Amino acid sequence: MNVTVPVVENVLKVNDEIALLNRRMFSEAHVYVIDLIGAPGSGKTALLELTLEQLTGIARTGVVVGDPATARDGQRLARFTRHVVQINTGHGCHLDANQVRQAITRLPLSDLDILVIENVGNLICPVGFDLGQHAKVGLFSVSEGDDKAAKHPHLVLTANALILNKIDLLPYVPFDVPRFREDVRHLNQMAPLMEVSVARRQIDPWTHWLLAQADKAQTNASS
Amino acid sequence: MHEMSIAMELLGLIERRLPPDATLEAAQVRIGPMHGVVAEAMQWAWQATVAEKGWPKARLLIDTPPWQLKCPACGRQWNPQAMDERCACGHLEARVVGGDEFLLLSIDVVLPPKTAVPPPAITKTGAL
Repeated sequence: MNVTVPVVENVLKVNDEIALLNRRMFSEAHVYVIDLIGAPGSGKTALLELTLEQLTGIARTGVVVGDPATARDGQRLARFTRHVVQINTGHGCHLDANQVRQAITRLPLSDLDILVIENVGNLICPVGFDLGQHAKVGLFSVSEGDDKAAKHPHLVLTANALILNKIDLLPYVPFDVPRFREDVRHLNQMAPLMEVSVARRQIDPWTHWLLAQADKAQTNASS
Repeated sequence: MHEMSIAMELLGLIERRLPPDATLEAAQVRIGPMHGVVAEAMQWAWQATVAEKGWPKARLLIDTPPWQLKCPACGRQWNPQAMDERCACGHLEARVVGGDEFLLLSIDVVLPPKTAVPPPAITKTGAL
């Protein structure tokens, strides 16, 4: 007998439920968590190296880093914090909530103020998978071209903050900054857009934003 | 290639909703363009996933609703051709109000023929 069974259910329900557990665990440990998403080569790891260096003595940091293969990024970041867990996803193009759940069992969450999850380099696949983070941060760089925000609306729409990296290259590559800003604003009027240069060690807007968000989360948790 | 992980998530959900011993014939899903799913890649991933589960003929029917934007200035709602499309009133900003759906709508299944179950025997207990 042929039957149609109505369902109407979110396809990513299981992932979302695990993400909810992660989020609860982060909140109980009073650690502020961001999911950093950007294309390969946009400078995610370089930004984090400098971020961790500049936050030394200011905030206790940890990193979960996802890559298809190698532990190279984890090794780079381990120079700045001993709380690093590297996930190798193999053919997987994004992290999911369960991978993060397994990774955080290896971290002393209560001893951290900020945990950064560096997602697999990709502007599409990681966006739909909630990891339990408090904020999603999208990273673009001028060497990728000024059309990337418009071409990746899901990331821009759902990001809590956006970063434009490698602005030191603006004299050398064609990149229309006003057009990029306009594309971002068209899609997301709430997220701050921070322009930084890791190469010139100019990332203050980003570190200030990150610390302010972590402070705000701490204050909300205590009140 | 997040279509493969999506196909696996989808099949996991279907298996939890499948009646016992039923065979999957088709699944209807609604995937908004916000999720960046490529229909051809999704079909390929689906075929690979269902074949492994023993339902090689199971079909995937994808409904793709359009993007829907709303202008905060004039309140107009429209389906843009591209995401950077501005409102006709000239306002630069727009809010996404449709296109982010990701739902399993229904599944078509074949149920096994019912086995004849004898009616339970009536046992009299106590005095009438």
